[in-house]
Amino acid sequence: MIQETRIMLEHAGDPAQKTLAGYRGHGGYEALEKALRTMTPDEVNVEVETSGLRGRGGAGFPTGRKWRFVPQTDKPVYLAVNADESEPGTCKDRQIMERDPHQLLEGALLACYAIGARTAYIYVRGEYPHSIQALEAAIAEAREARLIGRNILGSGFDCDIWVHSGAGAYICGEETALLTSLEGNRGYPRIRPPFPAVEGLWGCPTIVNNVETISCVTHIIRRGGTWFASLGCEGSTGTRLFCLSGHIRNPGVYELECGKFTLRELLMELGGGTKSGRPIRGVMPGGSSMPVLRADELDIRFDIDSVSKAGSSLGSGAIMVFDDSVRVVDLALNIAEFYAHETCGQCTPCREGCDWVRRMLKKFAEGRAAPDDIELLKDVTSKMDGTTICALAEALVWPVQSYLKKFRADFEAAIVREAAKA
Amino acid sequence: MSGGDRVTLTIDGEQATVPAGLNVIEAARRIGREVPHYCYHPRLKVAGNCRVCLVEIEGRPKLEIGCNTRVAEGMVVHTANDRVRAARSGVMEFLLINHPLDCTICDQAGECKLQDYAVHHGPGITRFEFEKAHKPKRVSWGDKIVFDSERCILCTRCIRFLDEIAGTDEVSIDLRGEKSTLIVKGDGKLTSPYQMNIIDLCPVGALTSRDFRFKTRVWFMQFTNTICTSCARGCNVVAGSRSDRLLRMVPRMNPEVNDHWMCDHGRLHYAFVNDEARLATPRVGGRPVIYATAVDRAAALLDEARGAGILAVASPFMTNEELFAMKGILDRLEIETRYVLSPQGEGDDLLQHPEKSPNVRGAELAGFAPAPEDWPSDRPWGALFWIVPREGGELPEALLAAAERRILFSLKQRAADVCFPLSTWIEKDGTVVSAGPRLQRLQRGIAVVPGLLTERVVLDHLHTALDPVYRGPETAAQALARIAEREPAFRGVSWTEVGSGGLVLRPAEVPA
Repeated sequence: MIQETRIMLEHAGDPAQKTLAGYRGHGGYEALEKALRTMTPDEVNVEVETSGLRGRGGAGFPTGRKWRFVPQTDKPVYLAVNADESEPGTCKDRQIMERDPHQLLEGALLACYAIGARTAYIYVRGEYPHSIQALEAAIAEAREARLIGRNILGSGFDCDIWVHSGAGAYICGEETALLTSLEGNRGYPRIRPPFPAVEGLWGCPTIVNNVETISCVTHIIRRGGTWFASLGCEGSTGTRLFCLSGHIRNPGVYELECGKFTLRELLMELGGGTKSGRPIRGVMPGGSSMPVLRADELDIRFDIDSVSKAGSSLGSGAIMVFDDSVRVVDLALNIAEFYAHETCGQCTPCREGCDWVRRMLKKFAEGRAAPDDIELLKDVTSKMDGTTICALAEALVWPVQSYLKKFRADFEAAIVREAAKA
Repeated sequence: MSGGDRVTLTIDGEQATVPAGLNVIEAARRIGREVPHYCYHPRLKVAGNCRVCLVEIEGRPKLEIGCNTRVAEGMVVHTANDRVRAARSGVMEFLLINHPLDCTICDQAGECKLQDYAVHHGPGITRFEFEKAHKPKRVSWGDKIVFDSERCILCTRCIRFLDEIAGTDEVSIDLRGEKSTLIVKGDGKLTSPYQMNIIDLCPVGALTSRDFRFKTRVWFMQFTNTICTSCARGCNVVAGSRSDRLLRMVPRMNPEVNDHWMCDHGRLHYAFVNDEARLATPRVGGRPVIYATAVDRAAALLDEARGAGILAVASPFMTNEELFAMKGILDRLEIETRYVLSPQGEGDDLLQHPEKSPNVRGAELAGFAPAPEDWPSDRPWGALFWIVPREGGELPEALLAAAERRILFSLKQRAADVCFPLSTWIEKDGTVVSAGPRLQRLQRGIAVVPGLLTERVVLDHLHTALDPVYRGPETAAQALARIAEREPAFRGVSWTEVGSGGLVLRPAEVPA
């Protein structure tokens, strides 16, 4: 039986954990004190490298290595915490922000200490007013206790944390669009190079990390990188928050060690199978933007590298399940409608392509597609793949291509045959 | 091998050694290869949004945009292999699916990058079966520009120009995704005195000029490389004309003068050229006469008036060749009272010069003194010999009234003993000394008034009438050669050397 390993969510059930007193009662801010008193910034970075921590926003880049990209500079360095949790199916970061916000603040202070930042911004999606409230309350308390601000814990380390609310655009979860939005501009992704670690906020070096990633840092410094690395499996160390939703009996957020179970075990044992009792038809393993896995592909070890080897991705940890009552053409259309609505429109293939794909999928969903439409859909999506500024186009293209490949019969069934018409 | 500030790379199998820091588009341009692009412009920040300049860089998994990829030693670039061409064709298809098929009524047709690239790089067919997106059309952006959002490809060149060059940051994008459209901030009307440059920058027909739109198809026009004469900057321009009517001016890139830009005032200031009410033939005592009659009469009057004194006033709109032709007459008649009027106005930090004429420097080099603040009006001149500026220079009424005889060159008919019609800059060859000091060339593009003689020709006839052995030069080029022989400031220059881009004169010998 799969067991949860609760680290980030250990005290999530305790309402007092939101308060500074409650958090300190569970060892809160000891990691910060330890780092500021006994560790150099480089040692903090080394500890994070030792932990094997990889980003939890979707791309899975090694966090300690990312921090090393900050160049020697006279400019200010910034930390931007990505709390624009907007990938469909993802609802893990809000658990941290609303139930245990201080671990995020502590992690942010540690990260700032490591990268030489004196300011952190937490960019929270506008649809999360409760998260914003919880963070602001926590920041106020921490500031009052001199854990945020000047000369933290008498160490001489100054660091401030600000919460910034988004305004409802999915694209602002893309790290460079987030920075542009944070600067007060339209949420457009930026071309790379330069990368944010070199030129981010206001042209200054900026590290962008996900809420869960930064929260892990707190526990890594508290209990050591080696301890963290001992959890999970190689390539997916520590614990990870998974958001189980869709046609599942026990939806929710689970904190698990990767590599200790297969996807099917997760769905059947923790998830309890489908709510309807009907067979699972497919699973989106890492948010709606990741290629789908069919029911016969669920016996894979569920960690970053194994899922990647299976042609999909752990993404943001959002696992969405659908049973055999779902017509895949409807599902594909639903996804396309989301991305066609959310494309920022900055670059050509995505601006024009997302809506074109949506309109083609609408034909399939309405059962009026032409025989050539499957090939057309494949070709148009291929022209959007790898030709854009950011990954939003691929967030539409990858799942659609995977549905075409894995559920082709659904698409063929939606074609009006000449014979049938006559 | 290369080093230091140059790098050697391979582009489509060809080795190229180019300055370090160039992007792939510019590097390819150096060896004569065009990487197509819309949003990239060498003077604007890289936006990277059109995706037409995708190229393959060996060793990199994805295609990269040429505009944002700096060359590196040993880099191997493919700008036209199958993979690149397929991607480019895909981008062209995306650009075209929602673009209206209204080339037949679009002003940009014939000089449209969307047309050009659709032919060279597009798929050639459409696979888009849906109704095209509808967006705002015929949106007024003020009194100069009309915007068509359906034609817009959202390259943001206009936004960046107004922000980065003009400094007014007036245009932005509204809405999102395929509904995205440009808007002018505030009251929706542009204010920049340089706003019309965005019409030139717009690679498609989204931004059109109220002044020019629907006047002609561009392929019916003739184009002349000349300069703008509205101020001393002398912005290099291409004048577009049809049937001897000037229809439009657009800037011609000259990094030493105006770069890619010009001001709206200069661009739009040409109505007087085509004015039907212009003086078309010489007048004597108000009656139209042939040139020979007017020249003889003017010569006789000038000769008679020598004793009583002649006031000579040149125009700063005259070319050097005209000014020196006038100087020849004044030298011959031993007239020393020589002035030039110089209209002044507001300047700015970008292009506009406070001297609102092209050639005050040339006039001063030809010995014409700046007009005094207060003309001595008590003196009754025997004759006034005045080339009336096309604008911005008047003499006091009292001075005019006190002159016994008046020999004038004027755009409009004036009360005078002899009045010759004035030619405009687009009707003549010649040189001027712009700010710099920079010697630049005017080039004749059209003949608005049939049979009109330029001032240089008329002045030389006048000179011959006063001195039968005098023979003027045949052409402006020859006239310049004569000036170059005699005048230190012009030493060594020639018509061909001035070229269409101009050259810097030795500043020590030219008034600032």
